[in-house]
Order: sequence, then C-alpha cells, then structure tokens
Amino acid sequence: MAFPLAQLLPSLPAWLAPRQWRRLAAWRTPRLLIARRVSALVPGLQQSRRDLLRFGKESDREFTALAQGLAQLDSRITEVRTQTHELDLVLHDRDEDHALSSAYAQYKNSVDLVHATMGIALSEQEQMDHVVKNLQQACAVHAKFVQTNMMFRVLTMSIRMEAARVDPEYQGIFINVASAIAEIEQKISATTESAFNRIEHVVQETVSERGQLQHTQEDLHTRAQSSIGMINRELDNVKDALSPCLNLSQSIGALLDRTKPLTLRVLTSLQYQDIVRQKLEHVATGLDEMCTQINRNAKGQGTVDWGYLHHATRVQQAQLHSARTEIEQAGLEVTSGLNDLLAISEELVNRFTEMEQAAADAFLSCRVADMFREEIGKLARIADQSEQTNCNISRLVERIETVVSVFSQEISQHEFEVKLVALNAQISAARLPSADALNRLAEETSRVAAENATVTNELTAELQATLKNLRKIKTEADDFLALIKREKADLERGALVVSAKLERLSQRIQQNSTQVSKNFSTAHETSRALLEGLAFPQEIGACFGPGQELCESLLATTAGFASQEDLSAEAIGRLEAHQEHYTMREEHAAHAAALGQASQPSAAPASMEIELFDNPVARDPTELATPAEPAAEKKPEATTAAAEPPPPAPPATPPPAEAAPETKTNKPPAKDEFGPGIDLF
Amino acid sequence: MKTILVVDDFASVRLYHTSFLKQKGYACIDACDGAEALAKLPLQPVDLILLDLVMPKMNGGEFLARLRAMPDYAHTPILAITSEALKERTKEYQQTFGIEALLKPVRPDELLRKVQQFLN
Repeated sequence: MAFPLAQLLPSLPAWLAPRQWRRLAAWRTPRLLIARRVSALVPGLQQSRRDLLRFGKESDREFTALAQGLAQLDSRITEVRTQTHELDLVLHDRDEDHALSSAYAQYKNSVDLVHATMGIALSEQEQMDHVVKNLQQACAVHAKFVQTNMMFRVLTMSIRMEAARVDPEYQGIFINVASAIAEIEQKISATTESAFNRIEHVVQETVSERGQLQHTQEDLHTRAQSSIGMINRELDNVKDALSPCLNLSQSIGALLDRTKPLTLRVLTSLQYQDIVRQKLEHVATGLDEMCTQINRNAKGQGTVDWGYLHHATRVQQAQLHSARTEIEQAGLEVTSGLNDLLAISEELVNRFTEMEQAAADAFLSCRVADMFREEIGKLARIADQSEQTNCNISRLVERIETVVSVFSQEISQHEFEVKLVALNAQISAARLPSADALNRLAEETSRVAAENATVTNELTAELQATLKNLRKIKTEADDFLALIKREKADLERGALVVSAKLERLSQRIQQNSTQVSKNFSTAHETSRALLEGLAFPQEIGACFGPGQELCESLLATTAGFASQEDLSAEAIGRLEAHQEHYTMREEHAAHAAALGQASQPSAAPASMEIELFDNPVARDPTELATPAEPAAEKKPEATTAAAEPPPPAPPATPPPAEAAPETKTNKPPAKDEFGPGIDLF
Repeated sequence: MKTILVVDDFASVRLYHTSFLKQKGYACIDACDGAEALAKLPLQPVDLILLDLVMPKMNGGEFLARLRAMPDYAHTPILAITSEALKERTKEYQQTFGIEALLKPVRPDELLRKVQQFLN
C-alpha cells in the first residue's frame, strides 16, 4: 500500500531526497487509515499470542515426555552395556570367578594327580618285581636245605648202624645221638619247609596281585584317558560355543557406540524446545505490548510510535521465523533420533539375547558343571589305587619279616642244636676204644650242620636285604600316599567350587537375558507410543503461521514508517536494548554447559542476524537484499512513549557473533546472540 | 652320573619323576615353577630338564624363552610333560624352542625310554 505511487511515478526528481519521498508516501496513506488497519489486526495478534503460548506449554510437555522416554531408553541401553561388559569379562576370563580358567586349572590338576598316581603305582610294581625275583632266588636255596636234610638222615642211619656194632653198654649213647640228630633234622625240615612254602606263597600271591594290578592299572589308565579326554573336550566345546559370543559382543559394542552420539544429538535438540518456548514467551510479551499500544491509540489514550511499531514487528517476525525453524528442526532431530535409537536398541536386544542364548546353550548343552563334578570325581577315585598298592606292600613286608625271623632265629637255633649233638657224639666217641667210624660220622654231622648254617646265614642276609628294600619302598609309598590324599582332597574341593562357579555363571546369564528383554520391551512401548502421539509437529503450522502472517500484514501496513530516520533516539535505544536482551546468550551458554560441550547449532539453520531496521524494499525478513544503512550519529533527544519519532538516527547494528560482514538478509540471530529476554517497551 | 632337573608345580608329580628316575640311576633335582628352576640351574649342571608347561608365577613358555636366551642352556635338552589341553601350544613351543613333549599321563617305561633317548 505504501508504494503504489512510487510505482506510478517512476521518474521522480533526483533532487527529492529519500526522506522526502517517504514522507510523500506516508502522506499518501493517512495515519488514521493506518491506525484502523492496525487496530483490525489486534484480535488476530492476541489470538496468535495465545496460540504461541499454548504451543510453548504443550510442546514443553511433549518434549519433557520425550526426554523421559529417552532417559528410560538410555537407562536400558546402559544396562545392556553393563551386562555385555560383564559377559565380556567372562568370555575373556577376567570376571570375579574366573570360572573357565578355574575349570581348566582343575582339569590340569586332575591330570597331574592321575599321572602321578598311576606312574608311582607302576613304578612300585616294578620295584616289587625285583623283590619277587629275589624271593624266587631265595626259594632256589630250598634244594640245598633239602639236600642237607637228606645228609642228616643218612648220617643218622649210619650212626644207628655203627651203634649196632659197638658193645651194648655203649649202644645207647649212639642211638640217643642218632635220635637227637633225627629229631632236630625233622624240626629243621619242617621249619624250612614251612618257611619256603610261605615264601613261595607270597611270591605267587604277589605275582597274581601284580597281574590283577596291571589289569586294573590298564583299566584305570583307559578310564583316566577317557575322563581326561571328556573334560578336555567339554571345556573346549564350551570355549568354542562361547566364541560366537565374542563376535556378538563386538557387534553389540559397535551398536552401543552408535547410541552415544545419537543420544547426545537428541538431548541437544531437546534443549532447543526450552529456547523456543522462551522466545515464544518473549514474542507473546512483545505482541501483548504492541496490542496494548494499538488499543490505547485507538481509544485516544495515547499515540503509537509507528516507526517503532514497525521495527518491533520486524523483530517479532524474525523471532517467530527463527523459533519456527528451530522447533521444526529440533522436532525432526528428536523424532528421527529417537526412532533411530529405538531401531538400534531393538537390534541391541536381539543381539544381546542371541549372545546370552549362545552362552546359556554353551553351558547347558555341554553340561559342564555336572560333567566336571563327575569326571573329576572319577579321576580322584583313581588315586585310591595308591592306597590299595600301599596295603599290598605293607602285607608283603609283614610276611617277609616273618620268614626272615624264622630263618634267622628258629633254623639257626636248630642248626646250633645239631652242632651241639654232633659235638657230644664226638666226645662220646673219643672215650670209646673202637669208635672211629662214629667219630667220623659225628664230624660229618658237624660239617653238614656248619654248611647248613652258612646257607641259612646267606639266605637270611639276602632276605634281610630284600626286607630293607621292601621297607624303603613302603616308606616312599607311605610318603606318596599322604601327598596323594592331600592333593585328592584339594582336587575334590576344587571341583565342587568350580562346578558351583560354572552353575552360577550359567544361571546369571539366563536371568540377565530375560530381565533385559522385559525392561526393553516396556521402554520401547512407551517411546513408540510417545512418538506416535506427538501433536506439536502438526501444531507448528497452526500456531506459527497466523502470527507470521499477521506480522507480515503489520509490516506492510506500517511500511511507510520503516525508515530509521523516523525513529526517535529513545525508540532506537529501546530497540537496541531489546535486541541485546533478545540474543538469548545466557540460555545458550547454560544449555551448552549442561551438555558439557559447545552448543551445536543442529536445531538451527546457519547463523542469522536480525536487522532492527527494515529496508523499505524488502518484506520478508529472510529476503532482505540491500545492506543495512551505515551507522550514523544519534541525536539524543528526550522522548516519551507517546512522542512522535524524531529524525531517525542511524542504527547501531549489533556486531555479529562471527567475524563475517553484515549480512544482506534479515535472518534470525545466531544462537549465541540472544540474551536473557526482551523488553520491548 | 647324569643329572635331571624336574620342574612341576604338582608335588606328587615331582615325587614320581624324581623317585623313579633315581631308581634308574639318575641324579635328580626338582623345582616347583620356572622361577625356582632358573634359580637352581646355576648351582648344578643339568643334562636334561623335565618341564611342565602350566605353572604359577612363571609358566613353561616364559621359562623356555628365558632359558634359551641364556648361552649356557641354549641347547640343553628339554622334555615337556604336559596335558591334552595344551596340545596346540605345545606344538608351537616345540617349533620355537626345539623341545620334545609327552602328554600326561605318562607311563614309567615310556618316560624312561624318552629320558634314555636324550641321555644315553
């Protein structure tokens, strides 16, 4: 409306300064008409104000709910992160229990126990073989004793035959000698027979037991190999079954890494709702003030500074545009970010469930805990064989001791008695006149007895040596048995501990998976319901659109007062002051501090500046083509709110936050240019 | 008389190896882990080392690496006596450190045969 004359008069005289030209245009549109047109906009402005405030509150409510939904999701994601980390510790054997490495350590101990037990048992058996051979060599001496006993019998018969030749008064002596020798010979024969029978019996038993032991050892060896192989396979199976978990854990890690920047992006964008709400409150306040002024003017209660109104409207329009852009961008970022997070978290839950299922299957199907207990128990029982071997050795030692005792004491005693009898015979024969034969027989008896004694001594010495060797074997076996018992008890205790650890691990894994799925399901449902029920995206057009259009109309109506020269100094000062307040710098700084990083202008377009003073050509604040007027000296004048605007002073355009030159377009200010609030009037 | 160093963390295994080999006419010294073995080596020359590969403080692999780095023991024969679970690692050690290996449980005759192979 302000410019049709300018269009009809294309060739205005050059001497007409712009000031006069604008005055001419303003004269063409009477102030009364302007006032009427502006008054007609007031109801719309007030409605728009109410709508903007309502939008601020409702969008605040919805964004708060979205923030809560995000917090819930984030909390569930953190749970997954924690539990994945815990499972990862288990997979890499860095958990508290060290269940898997404990299992391998126990397995190793059981192998060592079996190795030592069976090795010592076989080694003792080999030593027993030597003992048996010595005993068998001892038995070979039996023939010598039989021979000497035969000699004693022959000598006894010979003495009896010689006794028949001597005088009857002397026969008794020789018959007694013969009887004595015969009696002792029988004792020797019986004793040695018994002793050698015992030795042979011991040898046979030992050989027979050795055969059984060998068979048992081979059976035990086979069983041990089987148990060892089974434990090893089961542990390896668990390890192999857990290896997919490692890959899944890595992919979960990658997904978790993606959630962080997304969450941050959504959080950052959520903050802009608060900024927009404050802007809308400021705009609402501004509109309210403008409406008050217009109404007062309409009622004749005061005059409106139309130039100031025009520029103030431009500011509101720019703020509305900026706020709209920001809330649209923020809304898009938040909804798209949340949708992405939901998609990632669904994938997370699936992978996590898959991972824990694999881990649970690994433990269940391998029956590691039960198997471990059983097989380790079997291997520990193999160590019982040592006790059996030890008992056998003890028994053998006792029996050999008895035999040695028989030889060293009884037979030696008998042989001594034979020698004594033979000596007596010799003495008796020496007294008789013709007893040479008897004398010789007595001598022969002594000689045989001496020979027997020598053999007995040699045999006793051999048996003593064998006994000493056997006792040494027994001592070593006792030491070994004591050690094995301790190690076996440790192994059995350890197997119980490890089985419990493996059981605990398996149960924990299963419980975690179920709980995580349940928790996520609730968070997902809540967030999806929120996103589907969002109203603010649809409300943006309805709430901002009318306000922007009304500002446009107001700007067009008051276009004639767009020149800054029409503004009083006071008006300019007030506009500059509210521009300062309107930079919202503190809000941005507070939000940036809360986020712990520089504020990312993701919800805002490229930095915009608000030109306080409109170029007469431009309408749309975003399409201002000509640069702002250069600053000129202001003329300080005292004005009142109702005073006519003095000759315009050049504007003091605010320095942009960036070092860029003055923008050619009237764009909303950059994020760091807004202060705590505006105070238009 | 040839001397054998027996290195194993399990006491009964050490007892088995030392008592059996002594019966067969060898002198034996024992150690419960790699660190103790390295401490005992300079005190007495050894002709063969029987080594367990899984031990606390210093395990078999670390012991082998340190031993082979010592010029006096770069070529000392080593017989590793280890378990099935370490089969793969044992193969690596065989290639890296030039050792022989037996898998537990080892019968005495088999042990003796292997020891005689090294020392006789």
